[in-house]
Amino acid sequence: MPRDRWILGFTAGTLVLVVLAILAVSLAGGREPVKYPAEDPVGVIQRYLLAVEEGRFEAAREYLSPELNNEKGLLPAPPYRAIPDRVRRIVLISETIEAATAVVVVEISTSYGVIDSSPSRNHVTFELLLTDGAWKIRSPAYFPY
Amino acid sequence: MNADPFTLEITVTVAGAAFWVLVIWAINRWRRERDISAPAAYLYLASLISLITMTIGLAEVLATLAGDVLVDRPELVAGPDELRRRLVPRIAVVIVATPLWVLHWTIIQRRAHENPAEQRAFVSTLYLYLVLTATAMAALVLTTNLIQLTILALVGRPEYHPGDSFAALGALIPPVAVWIAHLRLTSAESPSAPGSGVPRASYHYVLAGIALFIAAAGARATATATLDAIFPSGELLAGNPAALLVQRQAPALAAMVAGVAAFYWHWVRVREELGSRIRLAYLLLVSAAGLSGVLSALIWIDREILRFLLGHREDAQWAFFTSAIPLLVVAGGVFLAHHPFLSAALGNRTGAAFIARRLVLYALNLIGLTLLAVALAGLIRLLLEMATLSTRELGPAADWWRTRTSLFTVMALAGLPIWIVTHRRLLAAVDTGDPAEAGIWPRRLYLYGTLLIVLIFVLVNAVGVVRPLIALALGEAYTTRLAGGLYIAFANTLITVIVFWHFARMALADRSLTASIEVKPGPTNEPAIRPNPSDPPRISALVSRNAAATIRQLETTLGEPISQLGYIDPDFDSGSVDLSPGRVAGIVDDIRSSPNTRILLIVSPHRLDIIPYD
Repeated sequence: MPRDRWILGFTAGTLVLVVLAILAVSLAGGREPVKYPAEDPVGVIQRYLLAVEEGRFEAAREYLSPELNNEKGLLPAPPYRAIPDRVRRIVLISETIEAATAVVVVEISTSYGVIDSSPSRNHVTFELLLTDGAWKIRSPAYFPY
Repeated sequence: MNADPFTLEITVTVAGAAFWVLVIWAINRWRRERDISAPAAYLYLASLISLITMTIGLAEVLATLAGDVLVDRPELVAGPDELRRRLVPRIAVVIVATPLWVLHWTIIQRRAHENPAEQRAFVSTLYLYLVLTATAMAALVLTTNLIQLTILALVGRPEYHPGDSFAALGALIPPVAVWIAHLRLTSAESPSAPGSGVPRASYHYVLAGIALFIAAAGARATATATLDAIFPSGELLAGNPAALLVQRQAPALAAMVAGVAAFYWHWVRVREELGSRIRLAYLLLVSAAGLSGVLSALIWIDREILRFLLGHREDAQWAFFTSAIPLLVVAGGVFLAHHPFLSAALGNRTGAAFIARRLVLYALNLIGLTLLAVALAGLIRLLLEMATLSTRELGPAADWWRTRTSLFTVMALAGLPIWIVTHRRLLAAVDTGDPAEAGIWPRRLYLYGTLLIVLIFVLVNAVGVVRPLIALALGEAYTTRLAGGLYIAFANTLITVIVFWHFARMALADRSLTASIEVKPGPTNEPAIRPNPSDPPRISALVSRNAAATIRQLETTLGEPISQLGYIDPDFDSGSVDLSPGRVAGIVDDIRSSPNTRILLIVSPHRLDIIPYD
């Protein structure tokens, strides 16, 4: 029965991958991310995105530069956690600092719906300006999600 | 699928062009098979388009007049200017479309009067039922609106205005009038018109299917709204709970009521019908939709449970049940209600039922394999990403990993048994040594269609693997972005290559199986006695218009010409002829071993008779 090898192969492969994935997510998946210093451009972006994720929009506005902060309606009204089955992962792609300006690129992966095997991946470039000794977000002028 | 834009653009462009060429070729072939002349096709198509345009224009004019003029609505009618702005474009549509429809319909009627055969032609019946289908669908949607407004009126919602009901009623009148007029025409139509059974049955099944879908969506929405009201997932931040419930229930109930009524109206007319391909197609599609809903709901529920077991916690974690349970119940109900009819249709001893049984098996096998393949690729990708977790994670990603892992695990555990069971049944069916099994079109489609699609996936994803490797070799820095794309492409390529290899082996095995039954020249290995080319053909045939390929196949295998006596009208509602290589070999053997000097063949999609005579 040479064709039954396919059944054995797929079954064994599936079980191995499932066990490995469950073990990996149980052991390492819950690891908390490193907290970047609040005075670094990446730390500012990290806190800004976390504040938006948790629906603390006033706190999020504190990270925007004054000209953006004065504009109302830049952030979404509802916290996105209220939207069911939408889960995000944010990864730092690069950080470039030149004197009083910095560019931070992040990748935001969003999974929509229940059976979404292929999440959308969005690269967002944040431009920051050193203002009164603190990094402030100058762009994008809209919320990137 | 991880595709760079250029590769994806080329793939999509080529696939799109090929698709349209295929569609045009199929339409033209179908037109020739049905013996529809180009002028007739033009006349009926022009009449259909102008009639539908005229009906839409009339519906909009009546809706405006009934809703905004008949009923005093100062908030909508801001004076004659506003009314003129809204009415003029709609009246223009009616003024242009009406004479166009009258012109084409008059020509059609005159041609039918001059040539009664044209009145009974397939294209005429097709036109009538297309009009019926389009207007019935419009009437169904508009009736849903009317019922919804009636519910809002009955409960006394403040946002309701009587003008809305008048407008809905005005919009409903033209499509209903056109529907009734054409229903009377179909009643006068001869039941024996060539091919008339196809559009008539199609109309009932299409409408029953659409109405069932609307009813099911309405039932699910009304159940979800009720469960949400009984088990609220949180405090309502604004509005009144009862008002919110009415606002959600009104469209859901309206869809359910209108959908159920339309479903039964059409279903009872074909409920007892047996054996047609259209019935099989309807039952297969509705059952597939029901099964998909059940499968989706079960995957959803299992994913949430597994996510919970992996440590995911959030407010209102189980609120999804108010959506998932109605989906499971409604989809399961649709499937179970149709299951006896599907079983009876599949149990027939016709060729069409045999083909449908094989289609079900191959489709289920592909569903299982697709779930499994997507899940395995996702799990490999997750493991690669988790193995290289770095300090570059900016957000708490635990939810992300739990959600992805639980989804792919559940998909794999759902897809694997489906694939194993159907794969074993396929092995039992095909490995019987009967080459006819390997030659039927569902298997060809299953094998070569899957091979083609998987090849495209392999191509696109392999580019996603090779491209970053070349970039790295040329000195580009290894970044998170590069790694992310590489992981996805690698996982997808690995799984799709395995699936491609699996199907390629099956295709090769089938090829060797069918090659082994090539027609031998004679039972004693002596060369067959070829007829004298100057003699008239000893084999004659009556064929349907789409069976010409069969004649050519038989001529090639026999090595002698077949005289085509003429065409027969095919009965497209019947089954199909088994024209596998094994069956053709049997036919050729029968012809060669016939003691008679002459043979008449009758070939159509549903029969192949060999009649020896002298």
